[in-house]
Amino acid sequence: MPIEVKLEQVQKLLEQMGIRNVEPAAATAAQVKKMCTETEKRRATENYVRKMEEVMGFAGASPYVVFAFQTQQGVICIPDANFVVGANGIYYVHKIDCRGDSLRCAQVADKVVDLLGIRSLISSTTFLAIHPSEQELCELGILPPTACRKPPTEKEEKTEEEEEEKEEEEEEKKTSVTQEEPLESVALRKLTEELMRAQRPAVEEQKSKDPKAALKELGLGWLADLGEADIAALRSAAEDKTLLNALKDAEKRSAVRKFIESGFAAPQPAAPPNFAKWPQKDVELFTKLAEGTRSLHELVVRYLEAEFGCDVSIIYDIMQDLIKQAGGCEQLQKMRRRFAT
Amino acid sequence: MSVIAQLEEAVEAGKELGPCVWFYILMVMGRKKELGGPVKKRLIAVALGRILLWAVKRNGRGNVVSLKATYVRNAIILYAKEHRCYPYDSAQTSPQVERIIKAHMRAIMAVVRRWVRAAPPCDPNNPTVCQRHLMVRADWLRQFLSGLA
Repeated sequence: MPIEVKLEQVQKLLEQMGIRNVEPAAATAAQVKKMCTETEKRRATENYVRKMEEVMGFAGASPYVVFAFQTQQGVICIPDANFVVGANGIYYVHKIDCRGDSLRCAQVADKVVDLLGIRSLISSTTFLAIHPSEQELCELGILPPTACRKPPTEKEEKTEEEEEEKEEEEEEKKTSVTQEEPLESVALRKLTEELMRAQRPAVEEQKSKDPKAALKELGLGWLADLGEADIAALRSAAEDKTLLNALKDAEKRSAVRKFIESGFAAPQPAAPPNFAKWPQKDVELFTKLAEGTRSLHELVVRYLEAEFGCDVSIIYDIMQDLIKQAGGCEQLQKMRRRFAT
Repeated sequence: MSVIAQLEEAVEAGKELGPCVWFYILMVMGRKKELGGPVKKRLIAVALGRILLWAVKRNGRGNVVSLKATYVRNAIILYAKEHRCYPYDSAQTSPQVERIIKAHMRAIMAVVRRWVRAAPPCDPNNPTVCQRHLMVRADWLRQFLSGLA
């Protein structure tokens, strides 16, 4: 297409858009380059410019007509100075003042792009430089759909808010984890607890043993052979405290005192609250399972084994895997509800 | 009485301690201040012995066991996991534990090497190979660790 025809078309277009008194001014490549702001620096490579000129020359699109849009930030050119400047020849520059009505300029730019047949080369950055409102440009169809980000609907806004809240919660959790005491300290505490526990059952075992045997172990075997009358006498002696005070070991002293006060009866193990209200079957099972257990975990392990009849470590692993797969206990419950329906 | 003194006393007296105690001992080895003194080699040996005895008994296959650092470390972590010791009571993995055990491996392997030196050669024709690869006969190890525990 001869340059004269093209210039006529440009004039027509500008008149259609209500822009008058724009006369093309001849400029060299260097002048255009100096005047126009580069909006996309990544395109400004020599090879790219050369290739683009070849393509535009072959396709009939000419870079020799340049529109210079004067904006608040500077002069934005279409075609973009990045890939147009560099060609030899004279450029016909149409200067349009966009200060005060940048939206109309963007609309002109859109038409110009169509006229010159270079749409694919003009990026959304160029349009946004002329009229910096993405939403408006998208609504008018100036920006390509790929460059447009849909405004979030109410639902999306809510989900975004929820996501943000979740992220904040996770961050809080992370920080709380980092603020936790070091693992070694916890292990040390656990070790101390285990030590305490190891010392406790020894006393309890002594209590639950046969009272006579326990007395023998305490070095008070002679007490075992006493009759009812002697025990009564001992009770009064205990009240007198002279006999008990004779025993130097405090632990032994309290053991003897309790032993005498209970009338040689072995102490009963403490039962859970509301144990009396439990069904007889459960009480029997509990008593059977609790026998010899050292922790709640061990009791639960025994109970699950009795309930499901398989190695409980597998059940624990399965549960952990399930929770992990589901993404938390809440999700697991949701899944359960979904399966139930 | 310091924690370490109580622990030594309990071990010497043959008191029945929970299975996790042995794992915790290997975890807190570096905490001299809180423990009230350094953990003696004898205690480390007992703790490690209990754990390795469990590991060797658990894996009944093979006549020879190679007590390399990786094997020992994995045995310790597996022992803790199986017995639901903290932090494996609530988590399946713990990089922090692995890091702590790695940091204590030098002291742990010193004990292991001493055992290997005391062990009869796993292969009478090639005794140096056994020493180099820390290989011991499984039956001997079982017997030795049972005696240690």
